[in-house]
Amino acid sequence: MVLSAVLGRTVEQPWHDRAHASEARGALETVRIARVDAPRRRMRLVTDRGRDVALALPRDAALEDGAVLYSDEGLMIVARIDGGPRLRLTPADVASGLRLGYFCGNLHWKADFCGGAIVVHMDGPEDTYRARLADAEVFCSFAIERLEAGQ
Amino acid sequence: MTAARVGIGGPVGSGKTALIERLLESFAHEGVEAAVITNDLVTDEDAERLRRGGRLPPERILAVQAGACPHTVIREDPTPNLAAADRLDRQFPDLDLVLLESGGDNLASTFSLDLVDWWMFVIDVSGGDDIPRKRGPGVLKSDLLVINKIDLAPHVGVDLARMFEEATRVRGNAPVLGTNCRAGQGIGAVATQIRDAVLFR
Ligand SMILES: Nc1nc2c(ncn2[C@@H]2O[C@H](COP(=O)(O)OP(=O)(O)OP(=O)(O)O)[C@@H](O)[C@H]2O)c(=O)[nH]1
Ligand SMILES: [Mg+2]
Repeated sequence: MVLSAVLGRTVEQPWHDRAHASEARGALETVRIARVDAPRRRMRLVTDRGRDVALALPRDAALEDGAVLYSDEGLMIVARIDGGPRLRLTPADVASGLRLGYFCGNLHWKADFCGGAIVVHMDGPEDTYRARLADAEVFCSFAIERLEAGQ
Repeated sequence: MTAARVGIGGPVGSGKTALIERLLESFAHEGVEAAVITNDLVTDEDAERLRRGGRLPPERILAVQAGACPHTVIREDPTPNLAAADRLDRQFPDLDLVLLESGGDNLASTFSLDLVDWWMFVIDVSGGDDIPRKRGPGVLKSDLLVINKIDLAPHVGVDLARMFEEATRVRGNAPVLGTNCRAGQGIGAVATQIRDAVLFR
């Protein structure tokens, strides 16, 4: 089964009600997609009920949490994408913030800037990130906090 | 369906273009409509070589010049490659597949998934059998690791079995395939991986 469009999102109507109705009928299936994989437009997936599906989305489709990928009377398929593991780095002062930002950039880490913090999106083991940050602690000071999915 | 985008990265001279030449032969047999984008530093060398090879109409081969470290245009800012791929999509609506060759880089180079749907990393045995053990991000994170030039193993003192075993281990059992692009060995298995992962046929 090839899923080739994002029909809508379950946070919006009428999809919100339709998802509830499908769930009540036992016709709702979900596919889990890791945050790091969500930009892919082609992938093979297995639903929570063991159904093999293939995703082939247009380039401009927005694959977000709650994306409705299939819907008819007997079946609705919805994507579940979590926030992914992240580390929030809060520098102690401006000088540390500048050096830390430059450091993360040189490591090509994927990051968001939230207020005074750098939020690093991890796509590998946390230990690897912690090992690099230990190097940075030599020349700047900052706090590290792990953010869980959805946080 | 919009054409799938597949990245091919790896160190300088590992055989990325040679693998593309072989894959194009294989896809032509199967009726897969393909196009290629090459990335070189400051020339169109690889694109010109592919055009001379004649396996695709020349207008289906585009060249992007990275100008700096090759990874910048496949990861940090893939805009030039995205523009080239969009142009191919517009010009050839029946395309099934766009292959993007990165300029030869180092073991840390990886593709942004904003650019490609799936990517492989090509290393070769003459770089030494310790390369997988060094756990470069390209080796670890690619969807498929290709170890090319297996024909050279006896000449460079490489223990092929150990190299494959270590590569498979560091990749947590993600696929590793061996090829000899010179003789066309192992190409079918690589084409099968691409077909299965993104062409769904
Ligand atoms: N013996 C042997 N030589 C190979 C094989 N594959 C490629 N070569 C040779 O290796 C050299 C480099 O191959 P290319 O295909 O140009 O490598 P590349 O990775 O595209 O190189 P860059 O784009 O410059 O990084 C050429 O001389 C090829 O003929 C192989 O499987 N065996
Ligand atoms: Mg090349």
